[in-house]
Parts: sequence; C-alpha cells; structure tokens
Amino acid sequence: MVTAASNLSSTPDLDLAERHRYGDTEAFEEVYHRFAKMVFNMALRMAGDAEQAEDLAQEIFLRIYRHLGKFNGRSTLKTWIYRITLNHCRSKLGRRRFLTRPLAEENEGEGAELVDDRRGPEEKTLAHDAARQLTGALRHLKPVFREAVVLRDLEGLTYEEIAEILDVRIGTVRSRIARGRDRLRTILEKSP
Amino acid sequence: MSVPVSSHATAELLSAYLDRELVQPEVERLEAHLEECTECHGRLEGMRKVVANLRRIESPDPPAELEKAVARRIALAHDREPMLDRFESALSVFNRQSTILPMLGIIIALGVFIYMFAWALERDQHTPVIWGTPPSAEGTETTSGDRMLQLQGDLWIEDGADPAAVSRSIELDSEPGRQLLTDHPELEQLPRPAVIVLDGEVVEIR
Repeated sequence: MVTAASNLSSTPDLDLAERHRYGDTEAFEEVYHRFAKMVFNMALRMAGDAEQAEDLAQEIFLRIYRHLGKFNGRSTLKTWIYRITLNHCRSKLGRRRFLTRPLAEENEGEGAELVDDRRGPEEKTLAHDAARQLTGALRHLKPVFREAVVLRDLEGLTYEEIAEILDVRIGTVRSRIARGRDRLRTILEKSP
Repeated sequence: MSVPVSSHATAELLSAYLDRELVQPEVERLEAHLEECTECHGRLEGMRKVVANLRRIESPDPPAELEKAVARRIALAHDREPMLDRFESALSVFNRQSTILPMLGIIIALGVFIYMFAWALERDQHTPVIWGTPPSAEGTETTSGDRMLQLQGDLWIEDGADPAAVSRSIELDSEPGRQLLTDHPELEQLPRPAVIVLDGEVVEIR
C-alpha cells in the first residue's frame, strides 16, 4: 500500500466512502493510515495481548474495507470505525472476558502485554510504574466498564462521542466511566 | 446530582467532577462536602491518580507488518468473493421469495404421496385378491337391477323364484343366451349361476 494520507487528510469522510465505492484504492489506504493506530490500540486494550490485537485489527480493517462504501455520514468516520472495532472485539472476545484473580497473583509485567513489546516495549515510554500496573488492572474490569474507561481516558473521547459509539445514553456513559475508574482505584489500592 | 452533607459522594459524582461535567452549583456543594469529609476526599484523590496515570499510558504504533497483512486479507477476500457472492445470491432466493419454501413443501408432499401410492399398487399385485363373494358366504344377498338375489349353496336365487320350478337352463355364452341378452341386457350383470323369474318363467342362467 502506498501512503496517500499526506495530500488527502482533509478529505471529508463521505468523499472517502464515495471514492472507495467507485474503486479508488487510495481512499481505503487513507482510511488505514488515519485509523490504524486507533484500531490497533483499541483492540490491544480489549484483548490484552499484542498478537491477538494484530489479528483483530486485520479482521476489523477487512470489515471496514467491505462496508466503507455504505458509510452514510450520519456519524463521523472516527466514531463509525470505533463502533466497528468495539463490536468486532465483543463478538470475538466475548462480553464476559475479564480476569477475576487478584492483580498481585499475575506475573510480573503481565499487564504490560497491553502494549506492543515486540516493537518498542511500553516500559521505555511509561513515566511511572503505576501506569504499567494500570494496564494490568484494566484487564480486571468487566468489558462494559473497560470500554468506557479506555474510550474516555486512553482515547480521550468526549462523553457524547462515547455515547454514540456505545449506543447508550450519556447518563449510562457517565455511570460506566465512574464505576470503571472506581474499580481501578480499588484494585490498585489493594495491590502491593 | 447533589451531595447531601450527611452522606458520602458517589463515584459517579466524583468521576464527573474530575471530567468537569458538573454544573457550578453541584461543584460548589461537592467542594464544600470534600472539605469536611476526608473519606470522600481520599477517594477523589485516588480516582484522580488513576485518571492521571491512565492518560500517561502511551499508545504504541501498530506493527509494521499489519498493513501488508491487511492488504493480503483484502486480496484473499477479493479472490473468494465471486464464489461467496454466488453462494449468497443462491441463498438470497430463499429470503426474497417466501413462496419458494411452501412450494418446496408441496412438491415433497406430492412426491411422498406418489411413492406411497406406487408402493401400495405394487403390494396389491403380490397379494391374492378375491373378487366376488367367497364360497362360504352362504345367505349373502345382492342386487342386480331390480332383482334381489340370495346365495344358496353355489346358486344365486332370486327372491320369489323356486329352484324346483326351473323350466330350462340358459348359457349366456351360447347362441340362445346371446339372443336373450339382446332383449335383457341387464342379465350381463347378473351373478351366475342364478335362478331367476324371467317373463313369468323360472329359468337358470349360467
């Protein structure tokens, strides 16, 4: 694939979809380059494993490729792709996929698997051990709380964007974020 | 959302406070509560630390080989698509035309019926069939035209005819018999041998 993002980054979302529909291969390439990091990291946070996240990302981009032509612009392309990503992760990983054993019982650094340690381990860039511990603690959250916390605190989305992606009311988003954060606080306070 | 002074702040309230999602009166009430309640203050600080550390986690770049892997998957999907499309369009016939399934059911039912009919016919050919009345059915009654007949021994006797009064015996296959049939064609249906009253005369028909 040849990067076409540089001169097309300002192309509106609907134009991209239309170009893809009419067979312009550069349109999908631009989508890939704009969203590859976002999709991979979301899959990584949900799966907790870099290798599995890569497989998920491949499948997600295949779905995006197949459906991009049907994108109707009712949401932004970003929220549309987030939704595809989350739905795919949910269907592949299952709704109840979370760890229940205490954080202290996990292997040293297991939480750090949330980052791609094959290419550039997160330890190189994390400023604090607490942040590494958090990536492990995230895996102890129920998926609905993990999704909300990741979208808010790691992806930096607004409550409105999260509500649109998860297709729930803003009150529900607020509640899920709060419960996720509070649960993380409890887990970390209990861990040595 | 408001905070009664006597109770603790909810996680939802603390979380929304950190995200600056509360309106000013709520902020003021919560801050007043936090000054008095060390427990809620501790929870808020714990949550603040969680949020700050979450935001420090950096997002790694996707693996370099991901792009090629995606391209391979798409190429593979393209190769398979014509076959999949044919399969899907074949399946979509069942979705589009709701009459197909009932018709299929009728055809299957008809096939089963024909098979059963043929099977019964085949079975009948191998089963000895007894046409007419079995010899043991002494006293059996039947009708032929207007005549009421009863089986006595091996002879059908018309009601009112006296076997002892038979004046003659006629073979329907003989010349006189065929002549008789031209005047009385209904006699062809008569069970035989029979004793009947024919034009006032008691005759035996064979």
